[in-house]
Amino acid sequence: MILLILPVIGAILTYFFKEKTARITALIFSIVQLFINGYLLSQFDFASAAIQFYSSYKWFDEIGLYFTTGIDGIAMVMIILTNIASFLIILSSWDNNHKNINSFLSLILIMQSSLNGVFLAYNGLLFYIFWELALIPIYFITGMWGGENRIKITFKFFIYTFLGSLLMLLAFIYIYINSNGINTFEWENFINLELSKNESTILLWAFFIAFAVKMPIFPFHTWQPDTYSVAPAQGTMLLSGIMLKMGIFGMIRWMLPLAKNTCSCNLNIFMILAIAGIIYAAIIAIMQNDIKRVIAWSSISHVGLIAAGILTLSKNGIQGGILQMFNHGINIIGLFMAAEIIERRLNTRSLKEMGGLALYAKGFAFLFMIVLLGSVAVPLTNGFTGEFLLLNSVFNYSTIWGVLSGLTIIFCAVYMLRVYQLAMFGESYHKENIFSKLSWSEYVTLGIIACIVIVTGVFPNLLLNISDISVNSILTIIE
Amino acid sequence: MKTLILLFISGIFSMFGGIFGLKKILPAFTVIALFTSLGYLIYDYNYGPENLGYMLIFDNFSFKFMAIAIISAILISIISAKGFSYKPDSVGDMLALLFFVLCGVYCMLSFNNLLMLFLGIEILSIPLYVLAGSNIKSLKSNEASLKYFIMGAFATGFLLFGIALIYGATRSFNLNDIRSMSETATTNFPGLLYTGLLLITLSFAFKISAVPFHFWSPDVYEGSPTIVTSIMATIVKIGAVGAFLRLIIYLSPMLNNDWYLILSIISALTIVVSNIIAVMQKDFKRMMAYSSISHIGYLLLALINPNTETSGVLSFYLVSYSVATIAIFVILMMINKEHNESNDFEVFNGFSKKSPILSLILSICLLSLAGIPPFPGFFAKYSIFKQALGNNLWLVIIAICGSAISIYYYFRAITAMYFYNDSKNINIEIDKNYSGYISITIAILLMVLICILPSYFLNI
Repeated sequence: MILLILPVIGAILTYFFKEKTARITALIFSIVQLFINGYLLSQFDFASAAIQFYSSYKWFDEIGLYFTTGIDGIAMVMIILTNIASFLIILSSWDNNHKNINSFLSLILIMQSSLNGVFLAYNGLLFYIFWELALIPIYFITGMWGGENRIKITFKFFIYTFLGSLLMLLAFIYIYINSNGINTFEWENFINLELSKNESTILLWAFFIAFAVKMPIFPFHTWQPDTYSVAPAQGTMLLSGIMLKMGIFGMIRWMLPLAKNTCSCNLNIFMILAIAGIIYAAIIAIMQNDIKRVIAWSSISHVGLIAAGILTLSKNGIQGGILQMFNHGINIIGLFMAAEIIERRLNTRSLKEMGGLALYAKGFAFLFMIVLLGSVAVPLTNGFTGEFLLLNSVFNYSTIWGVLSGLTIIFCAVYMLRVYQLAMFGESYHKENIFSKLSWSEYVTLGIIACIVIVTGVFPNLLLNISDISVNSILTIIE
Repeated sequence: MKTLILLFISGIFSMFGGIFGLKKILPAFTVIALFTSLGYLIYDYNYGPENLGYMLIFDNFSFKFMAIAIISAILISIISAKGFSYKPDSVGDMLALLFFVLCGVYCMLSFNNLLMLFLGIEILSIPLYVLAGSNIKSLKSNEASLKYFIMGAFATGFLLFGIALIYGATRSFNLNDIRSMSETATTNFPGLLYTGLLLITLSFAFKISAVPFHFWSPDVYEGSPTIVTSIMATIVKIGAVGAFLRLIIYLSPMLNNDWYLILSIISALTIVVSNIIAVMQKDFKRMMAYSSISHIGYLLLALINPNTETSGVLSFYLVSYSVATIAIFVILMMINKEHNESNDFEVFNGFSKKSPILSLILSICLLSLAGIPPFPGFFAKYSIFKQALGNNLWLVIIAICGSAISIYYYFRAITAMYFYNDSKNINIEIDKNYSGYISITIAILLMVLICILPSYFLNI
């Protein structure tokens, strides 16, 4: 509960401050938020499958809207990610010269609050409300501080995702109307639904499209590269680091319980789409010249693998998916941070106009390398365990699909190393050294990310333990 | 009854007050008088219906809708000094007309006799014709007034004709008699009755400007002074929708599915046509006109096969709609120096830099009208759709598509405010007067209250 209210207070305060004070306030609030999160983690019972910190208040009884919140293992991982990532994002904006930095930061804090809400909500309608609420700040962030052509692209993004989530709302309402007086928005009732096969199939599709737009999975991805490249760096980090996880998280919590009664062919179609996305996006990523676009396409590719793993409905798949959600969130923020650091100095995102940067910035090159390796999933970095679990599960499900999705590792190495090579090595595009030293905030941001990459790479169980029991209980629900 | 008398006397007072040089205090007087009548309403609430010779019945139903109308009137009258500044000499007359409009609304809301319904509609309409044309120097305002008058007179003719036919069929104007006749009737009703009902429905559809009787409304909205537009968009709609619901509840035994089919077709047309046309509008006020038409479409949705919850749902919707609409119009009044100035979307270009707070509030109101959670409009739309879902699935689907379209035009204003720079040299001067801010603050507080305690507002 306090996780939700605190950022809003912070946002309001930040809005009324100017420049430096606003930055400090926002940072303090995000740190406090982290501490609260740490406290919750210390109180969290790892051995219990129940929903913890559960609370439920009536908000709008007549339409079944309760303010029901709680945390299970899966949500815990996501909340940790949200709060760490928001902290990093606010820290990374320290050196930005945006106009109206106060409203920028307060929008980020509102975003943090609604993202936490998405992960905490145990009422379908509440989930939907937070889901939509998260859309409004990012709409303004992209539209006000974005690059070229931002208005059209932001609008497309908004309409696209809004229509997608409308389907989810319709599905929720349909279930609610057809239940005889049981409040099916509440999660406990939701998972015990008795639906006919046809009904669940249609509902499953509605949920899938809503979540697939957000992730995005292959045919629904067209909004994503444009929006990522146009949004300001912090907006892109929010979008890719956390918002994208809303879709996957929604899939685990709200879509999978519906799958118990349906033909597995539906899930197979979803998996084919996900795997097609992996390969398609990876190939496009290799061809891109804009560093942000490479990362954007790589994100589609990675998310496809996560979705495929989760859709296998195996323990390894879901565990790997959750772990990889966290890792991907951290890695991609690091990658976009690196891209932003380069862009701040060179005023370009084109890979052709970079080169030889490693000569001028050794520390940066080192940190960038770590993050990049995490993304490529080299052993001992965080990406490795997650992708290993995911690929393992897909492989067990079907050998061919396992092989196909295994291509992601190769492709990923190709496009990531290509980026690194073009940007950091080779002839310098600029004759003199215009790559000034990194400021402390940039060092700290990248440094923290690199630490997380290594630590979770060496000790993945830190995260896996949190979600372990909850994944088991999800699997029993589906069976 | 007390409320009606109070409103009437206040109207007379402000009319003469204007003559005897009390212009300065009249807006304040209006606010106080309206608050007093609101107090009377709350005091009378749950006090049992008050019957006035079977002509008017003041019951909880009319109290509820009247309270919404008075709250809207309070919000409007707070800024009345500014809103009527195009004609500062006759503020008193204008406020008197506002009071008479409210009297008409109250008569409409509590009618128990078709004659009172007719009288109420007339008491409501005639001051509005005057108000619409009150900016005598503006050609558009005159045009609006004339258009409104001619079309309104036409619709009133329909209404009277319908009432006459119903009288012919049932030999009574009294709703109780008509209802009991229909309950005891053994044979089918004569065709006269249904023709009469249809004519009444059509005249109501005109009053609330439902498609295909909506053509007058964008012109009138655009031409009238903004403050009058806000009255038309809220108070009149509250009265007409409330009266329509009352009529439907009374006559429900004789309304068959065919009649509801007509209503659902009108509702579907209203939602589709208005939303699509609104997308193409260049003028903000015209866009608001179409937006209010589309909201009427959603309200009509709830009128089909009403049950005991309908009045709660409708009043909930009307509160959230009126508060947001009035706040938008108040902001429009605050930024418009000249009343003849156009209200293109371009007016809003770069508005967020000039006044961050006003643009924030305007965005919240637009988001609420668009029905995006967690703003009150979402809850209101949701409850209406949920109520209608049982009867007409297809209508609800149309309505959801309609509200998805509506996001486009509401967001156009938001986009203009935040994302565009002030390209043209349109000088917006924001009124420094505190009255507008007070009105907006109250509106926003109400919206927050609705957000936090929706159940309470639904069950009043």
